[in-house]
Amino acid sequence: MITSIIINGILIGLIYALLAIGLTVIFGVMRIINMFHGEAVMLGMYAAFVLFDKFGISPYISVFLTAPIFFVLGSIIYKFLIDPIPAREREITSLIITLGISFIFATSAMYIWSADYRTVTLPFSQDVMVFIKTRIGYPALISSCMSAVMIVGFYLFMSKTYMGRAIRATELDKDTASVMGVNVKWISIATFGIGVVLAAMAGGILSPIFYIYPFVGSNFVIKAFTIVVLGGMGSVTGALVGGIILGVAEALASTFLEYSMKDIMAFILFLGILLFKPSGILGGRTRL
Amino acid sequence: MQNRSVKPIVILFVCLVVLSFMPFIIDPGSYKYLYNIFFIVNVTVLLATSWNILGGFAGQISFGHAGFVGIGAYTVALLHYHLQWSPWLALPLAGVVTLLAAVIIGSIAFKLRGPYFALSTLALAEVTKLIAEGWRSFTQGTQGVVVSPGPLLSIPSGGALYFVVSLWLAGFGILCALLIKLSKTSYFFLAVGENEDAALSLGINSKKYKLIALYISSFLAGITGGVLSVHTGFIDPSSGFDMVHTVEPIFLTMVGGIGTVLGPVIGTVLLVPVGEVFRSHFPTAHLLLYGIVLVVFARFIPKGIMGLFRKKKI
Repeated sequence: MITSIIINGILIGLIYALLAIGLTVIFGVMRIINMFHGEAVMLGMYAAFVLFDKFGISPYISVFLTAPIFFVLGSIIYKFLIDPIPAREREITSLIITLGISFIFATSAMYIWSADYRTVTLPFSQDVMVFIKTRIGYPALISSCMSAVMIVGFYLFMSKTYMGRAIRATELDKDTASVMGVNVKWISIATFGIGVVLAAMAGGILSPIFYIYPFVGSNFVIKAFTIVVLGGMGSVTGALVGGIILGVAEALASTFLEYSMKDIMAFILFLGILLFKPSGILGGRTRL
Repeated sequence: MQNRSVKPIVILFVCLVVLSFMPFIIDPGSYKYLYNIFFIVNVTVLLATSWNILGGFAGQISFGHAGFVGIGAYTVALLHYHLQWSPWLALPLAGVVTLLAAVIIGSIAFKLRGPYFALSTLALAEVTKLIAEGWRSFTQGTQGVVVSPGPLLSIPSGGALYFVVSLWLAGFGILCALLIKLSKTSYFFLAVGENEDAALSLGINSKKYKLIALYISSFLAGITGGVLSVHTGFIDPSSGFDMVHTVEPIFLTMVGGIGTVLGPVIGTVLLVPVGEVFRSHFPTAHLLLYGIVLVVFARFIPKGIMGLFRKKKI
């Protein structure tokens, strides 16, 4: 019983971690809280839904097809709306601008796709496998594995490639990075694009296991913030740890407490970590 | 208090007294829709002013005003439901209870700087909504609570009473903002909001001023919630903790002019009537409008309408 709860918690936690990585990267490099992160997840879900509904492309493939579009979207938003704000006012103004963008996206989605709940039903949606007495649905299993692969891939990208190192250098010290020949402006634009892509990909991967509706983003954004704070802002490893903790905590709460306690867990963790260990569980020890 | 400080307060007071005679000129019985809009404008002035004291004066962006409004609304509704208190009597308590919630959130969130406060207030709004939904034996859950306001001091409740009460509450909010703006405290707020490091290095206890701003703001937002639930006569989690209560004050303050006393008032008086008419024709389209206007103002006109008259200090 307890093992099956924990296994399910870890599986959902891996997806949560992927949700949070886009947010943590943007925050780490630019110190910007991206309030439309949830709406980027929502758009990713709808993109996967439309491609599946119209052309029968599996969400697990279509996330790669739509990634360039979301990269361009994120870059344009950063380039034209956030980058021109003077640095002194950026922290507050960017909060308000991204909040405005989130409303534009959520309401537009409602006009385009209506408020109906949509689902992506794959051929194997009903199938389950049994692993250590735990029933695991195939879509949940595939989504979790894919999240894990993407998190590892993103970790390698950040630690091994030039681009990833440039992003981390910018995160540590803008001026020094720029002296070392990193084009900080371009890196910032690209990082924002990457953050939006990661959110949209998480949305696409989530689409077979969650309902899709225009205001779904707000559910995810709080979870993502909690994970980012849990793991330490800007840390990819932290997001992975934070995601799994949140997933397991939610699974335990919904089993042993009332089901409605599940959604409150995120806030309890959030406020608890602010109260006792604001630098995050890993305590800022990790560089990545 | 010098002459400079007294003049705006006198003007405010005269405006309130003059406007209070409105029900004698325009009959509330035959213009129900108009008085409904008047009420919404007054209440929104109070809420936007409350947000502005925290977000504009002290530079601490709150994404949780929906939570404050909801707590205030539920305080009035539950005191009425469980203890049969008159909703009017419970109104000040709505502010006090909300203030208590703010004490808790402030003590946690202001341990840290930067964006943690905005995120904590967002968390507060969501967690209080979930509690209101989940704690059925106390809050009736999603069923909601009915509030039936009796007469206030033998004045029967109706359009005229709501108008005058909301008008004076809005006036109270503006008075709070004015008193802060005219006092030395406003400079401390400004210093903390603009550059906290510099403020700290000058010996300003930045946490103290952030807390003061939060307390005043949450008190006013709680009152807003209380008066809303008296007026609607019904409160449930989705109406009490509506995200609009978070977004609308930000939007109106940004348009009117963040950090000024008159900004939120001008923003509200100009835009809420338009928004109400818009809302009755295209439901939820106002959110799209808010989003676009918010982005355009924050990006291109960050000082809002008040910024166009830069010389005026208030």
